Amino acid sequence: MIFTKKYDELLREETYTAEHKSGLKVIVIKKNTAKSYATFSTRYGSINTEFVVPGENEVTKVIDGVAHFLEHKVFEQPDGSSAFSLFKGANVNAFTSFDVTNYLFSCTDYFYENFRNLLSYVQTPYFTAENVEKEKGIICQEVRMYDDDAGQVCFYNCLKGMYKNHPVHTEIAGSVEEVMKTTPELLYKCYNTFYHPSNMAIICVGNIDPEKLGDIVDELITKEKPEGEIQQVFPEEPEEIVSAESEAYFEIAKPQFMLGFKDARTGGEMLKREIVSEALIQVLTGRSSPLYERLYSEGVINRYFGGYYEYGTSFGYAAFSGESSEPKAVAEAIYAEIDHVKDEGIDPEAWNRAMNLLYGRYIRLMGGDVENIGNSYMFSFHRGIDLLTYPEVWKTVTIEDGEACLRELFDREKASLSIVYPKK
Amino acid sequence: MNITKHALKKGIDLYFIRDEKFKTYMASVLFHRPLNREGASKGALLAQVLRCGNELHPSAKEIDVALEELYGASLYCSSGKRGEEQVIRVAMEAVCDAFLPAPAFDKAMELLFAAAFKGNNRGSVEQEKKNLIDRIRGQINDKRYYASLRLNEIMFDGRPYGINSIGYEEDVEKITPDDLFGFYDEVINTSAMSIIFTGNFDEAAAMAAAKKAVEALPEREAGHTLAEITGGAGEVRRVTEHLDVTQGKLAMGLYTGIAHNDPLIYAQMVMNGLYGGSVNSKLFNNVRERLSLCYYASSRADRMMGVMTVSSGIEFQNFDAAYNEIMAQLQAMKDGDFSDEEIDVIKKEICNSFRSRVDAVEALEDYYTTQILLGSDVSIEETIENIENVTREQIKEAAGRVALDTVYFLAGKEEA
Repeated sequence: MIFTKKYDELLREETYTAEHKSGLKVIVIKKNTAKSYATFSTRYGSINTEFVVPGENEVTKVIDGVAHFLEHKVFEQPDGSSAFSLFKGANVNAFTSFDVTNYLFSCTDYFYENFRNLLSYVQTPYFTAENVEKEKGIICQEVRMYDDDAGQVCFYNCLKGMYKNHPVHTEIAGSVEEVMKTTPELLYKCYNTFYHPSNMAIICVGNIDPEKLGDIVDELITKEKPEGEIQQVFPEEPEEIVSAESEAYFEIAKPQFMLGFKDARTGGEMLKREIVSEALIQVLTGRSSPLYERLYSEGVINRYFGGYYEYGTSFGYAAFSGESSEPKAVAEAIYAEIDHVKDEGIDPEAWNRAMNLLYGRYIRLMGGDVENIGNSYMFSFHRGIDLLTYPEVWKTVTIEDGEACLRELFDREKASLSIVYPKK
Repeated sequence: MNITKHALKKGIDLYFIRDEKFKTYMASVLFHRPLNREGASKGALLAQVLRCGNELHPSAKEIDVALEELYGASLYCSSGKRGEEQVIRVAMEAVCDAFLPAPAFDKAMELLFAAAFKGNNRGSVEQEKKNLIDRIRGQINDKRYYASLRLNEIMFDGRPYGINSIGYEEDVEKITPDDLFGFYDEVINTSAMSIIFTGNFDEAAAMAAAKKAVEALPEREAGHTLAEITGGAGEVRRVTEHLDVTQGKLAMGLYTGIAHNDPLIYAQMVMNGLYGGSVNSKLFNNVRERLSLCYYASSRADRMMGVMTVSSGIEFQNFDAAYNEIMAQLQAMKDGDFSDEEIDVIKKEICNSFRSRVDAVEALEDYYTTQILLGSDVSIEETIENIENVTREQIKEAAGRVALDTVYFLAGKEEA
């Protein structure tokens, strides 16, 4: 494999990228750290429940939670052991998000040996009626754990309030009923579709020799490029939201809320949209904003309050969440502040501070834990974004972009408020 | 990686843990006090009030404006416990000047030390009392955490470690601004203090800033509060409580019988790893993988208290099955029923986690804070060596000392 080397002037570090003959992308971000991090990820998450298998014409539709069930089962080895036992001196794990499944480990020694094991086990599916049945007990307990988590329920209720058809509104692990319906055949179908190297990436961060890594990839990845591509299918999603408000009741101390603004814009310049949206969220509700100061001093919000922008290639939303005895008053205050800034224009000083904050946040991310760097890079990568271009894109963002975003994204008609109240 | 210590004054020490590979630094002021009930509430409230203003930045908003101008630096104010010592911490984490468009270190130091020593927002006390009471009540929100909290309260009832580190509603209500600022004066003027710089920073500049910050402060008694490590109490306490939950939370407290500086402490770490501290442990492989009873079943050990806790989320009706298996696996540990290969796997995992600490300023500071409290200067490399040298017999001996003390189960309402 031939790597292309790139030197990052700002971070003063090198990055190596290559494409394997199978179509697998390999990226090494060099860091002078004791710990190295490796990820083997597929562009396949909980929202990929409808797709066309390469070579087929029909759309395949599967139940919810299969990506997450697969993530558990890929660890099972043909001899009945768990892949965890293959690793030496490593932190081994995996996770499933809306749009990716990631298998990972980090370690300070035995990196290449562990890396071989990562490639082998992820490429060795072994699903039987018996081992799938056994896993149902474990996954159902995981689902039940989330069922008791008011924050999770608040989050998904908000997504259900925003999205009518898009599968981003369903829980990543699925429901107990759907988990119980999972079969080995279903797992194999999804595995064979989405775990082809051409749909995957290897992203490693740390003190790693790209050549040595590339040789292992060449040896252990033997598949060729497939004929045709996987077609991801998403149901048509209206611009409108489903419901403006939803409620639930839990054994908690204080109401929790999430206010989501559904973004009709998808695809395009996603990284720029993220930076603009994040800066704007800071200006509107960040800790130095007039809104935050007022609501905090009145005791309407506390330190858990915050806003962020989240997106994939097929969805996006801005969210404000926290605890409050008056969640509806918080939502009204946010709507009022949006109208106020729409009328008065964005305060240039506040905008500059928000942009400074994002710059520092990027440096802190890239100078921090190798796992955070790898995960952030990986999520961006599967959305077609090169995270290392962040400073370049950041430079192009202007306050006018902020003004435009304010009008496009922050429309009260597209907002859904989810509240979880304490049970009486 | 090494730590260097500079005595600034009696009872006030400055520590440098420096490595140029970092792009950030963490600078922390730590106040050390014996943990008691009154101090827990006041310390937690003080930490919140310090985040709300000082002589240089009179309001929370002005602190936040300054932090944003410092390219999104963070100011953390907290009060917590390490064993029976209360640690009130004010810390700044920021990007170092070499990676910024304009230098920010000096301003960051002004902000940090003003927050630590010149807090003055008396007007924020009433609101912060309400926020703290919300935090105390909110401990019920996360049921796994809540179960571990209740276990701790029951197991250490009447002893300092049983005190809730963020205090008590009825105590917080009574605190007046005068009480709080009286407590603050006492903390600043009498508590042993550590100032710790970790990461990439200029030592001369850090030294100058720290010296200036403590110039006007008096000398004070040095030293730390170390808990007396006790063994099993004999009779096992069993408590079941009910909340409206769908999954039961099992939390078990065990005494390790091994004091902080006992040479067996490293064998205890390996023993905990084998038992439930890893995905290659007995609890994970049996309670979860073999019996499918749960999503998580794990153990963790607290060296400062000589305590090990086991936690698992299970169906209510599976309590006996899970409890019996957890105890059976403990017996297996005591019987020495583990292979050399298993020992090797766990040792490598533990060494990996210690070696990894040199990559993160927070983890480094945390490691050395423990050493400072223990009055020990064991480096990360030495810790790793000590773990590598642990023998099978030592692990068996460590397991043999473990004694179950308290079993707590958080069950559902319909189980009542």
